[in-house]
Amino acid sequence: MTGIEIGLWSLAGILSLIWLGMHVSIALALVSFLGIWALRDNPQLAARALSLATRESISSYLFGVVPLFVLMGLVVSRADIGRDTFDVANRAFHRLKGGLGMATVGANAVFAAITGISIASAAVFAKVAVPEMMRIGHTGRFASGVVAGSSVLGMMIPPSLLLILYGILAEQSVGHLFIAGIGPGLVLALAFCIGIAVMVRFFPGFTGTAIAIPRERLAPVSLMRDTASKLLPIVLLITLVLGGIYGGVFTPTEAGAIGALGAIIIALAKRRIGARTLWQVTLETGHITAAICFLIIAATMYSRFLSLSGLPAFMTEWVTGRDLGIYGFILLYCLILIVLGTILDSSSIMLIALPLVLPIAQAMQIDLIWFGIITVLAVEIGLLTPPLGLSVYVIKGALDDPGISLGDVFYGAAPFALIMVAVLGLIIAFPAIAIGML
Amino acid sequence: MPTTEDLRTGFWPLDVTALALDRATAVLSALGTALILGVMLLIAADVTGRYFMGKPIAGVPEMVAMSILAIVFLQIANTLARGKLTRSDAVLKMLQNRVPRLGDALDAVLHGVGAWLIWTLLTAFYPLFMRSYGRGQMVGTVGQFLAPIWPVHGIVLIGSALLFAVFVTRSLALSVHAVRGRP
Repeated sequence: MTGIEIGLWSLAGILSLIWLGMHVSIALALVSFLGIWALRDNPQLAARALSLATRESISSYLFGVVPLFVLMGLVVSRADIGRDTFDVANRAFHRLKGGLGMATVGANAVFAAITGISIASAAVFAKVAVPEMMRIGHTGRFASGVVAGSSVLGMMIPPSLLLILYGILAEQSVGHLFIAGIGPGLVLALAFCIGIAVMVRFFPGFTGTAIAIPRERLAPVSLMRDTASKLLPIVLLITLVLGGIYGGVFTPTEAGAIGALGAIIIALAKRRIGARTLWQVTLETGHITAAICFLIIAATMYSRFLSLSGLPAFMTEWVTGRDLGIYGFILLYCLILIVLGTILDSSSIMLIALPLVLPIAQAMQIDLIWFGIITVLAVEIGLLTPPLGLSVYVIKGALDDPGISLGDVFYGAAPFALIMVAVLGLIIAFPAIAIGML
Repeated sequence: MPTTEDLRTGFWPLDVTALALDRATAVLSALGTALILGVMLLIAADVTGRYFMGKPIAGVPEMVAMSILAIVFLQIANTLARGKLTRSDAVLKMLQNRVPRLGDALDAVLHGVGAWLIWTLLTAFYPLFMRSYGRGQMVGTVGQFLAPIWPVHGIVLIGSALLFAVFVTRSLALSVHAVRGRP
């Protein structure tokens, strides 16, 4: 067998092992181990590659961002800060038709700026926003669909775990990626709001008709004070983290530490969490960090094996020889990511696909920051599509309402997945949305 | 995904071993958890020192880099024992609902493969540890900050050994379920 054949077989092997349910990191490392063994005819060499990847790949200062931003995200989601943003957004949007849906999107966008995990947003807003929307007359499908759709903002608006992962794999600046994520995140939030307005107006059968419910009236002074006390901590955190990175005051790792510490202090001061919850949240952070870093170790070994096999170079030659052009290549790539997104989770897709496509993107002289934003958005569409839409499962789990089936949530999320495809097209056509601020 | 408690077999030597292992991984994981908070405070102290007192702490990047490797291997065995190591379980779940024993058998094989791979890692990493320990390898720059790297490599060994043990006991427990059927 030639190296390229071995490389292709390994891809098929990895995808089927993961599909069967093997732990993703074990599948990646195992196939790379066997692959290097086959290429070099030497099991000792393959084992050595495994141990070197373990020693070298994650032991760097940059990797501090992973536990720190995960910790920050988990603390703010446990501290009911999501509900605060929802309350405030609701006050801003309640006059509009479909205002509650827009408030959910707006609150998610703000919340996304202090958390980096879509799953955290999905769990929080499923509990906060869905019952509220159903109470005023929206259908369960529409309500859960809004939450599912807007939860993907968590991964697009910085800080974002997937952008960090891309930065590590593609050796791009995490700070630049964060800044490039802001524009597309805002465009996506705006597109969701427009989509909600259109749906409420023209498809009332799908959304249900909202009836105005008289709101508790607060005196203007106490209303302002309440809004300020809910909004101020969030604004402070966003300024510290994003302002710090954008202004060049902090490295992303430092911003993560300051953000996590700030979130903990705010949560403790508001008496939203105690020492026990803090410990549980940090333990959960540890589990997530271990799972992700273990994946990165395996992915490092896999990408070394791939370059040994010669498959990436061969594919680069093949794709550039096809005369696809940059846009043809990117469209094909997005299509593959979306299809993979229906069976695999976001980080696994990136770990498997990026070592193969990055050399091609480099050869075509594509801006790798822009490419990263496209990758994350395309991968995130998979969070909403059956059979393995992770966000949808999380929402179904968090809702605990037998009246809303898994199918209902998928059905409700479908229009939002379509809006994401449209925004993806927009960002491909106008790269300035992403990289204009750099 | 099943935790150690979910995988009780009723065969006491296996259950006791699995539970003892679970506790051991929890101890390591607590250390890793404390280390995460430590790293956060260390960086925050460094930033405060640099901007407000003009005195940064020496060697923070090196310490953070070493800590990450330590955190991951302190947590990894517990992550598997709590059923939180990333996998997509759609097919497994479907099998376990329709043909439970076949599902358990497949899962036992998958965990067995994991055990074998981690064993390979363990044997290949041991020489690396011996070298850093024997030669007293240091990280950092002379005159500013120097620390030995072998304790971190030791943690990698201990963490992988526990991870191996958890893979083995889970594989055995699942095999028992596959043969006897779940109660």
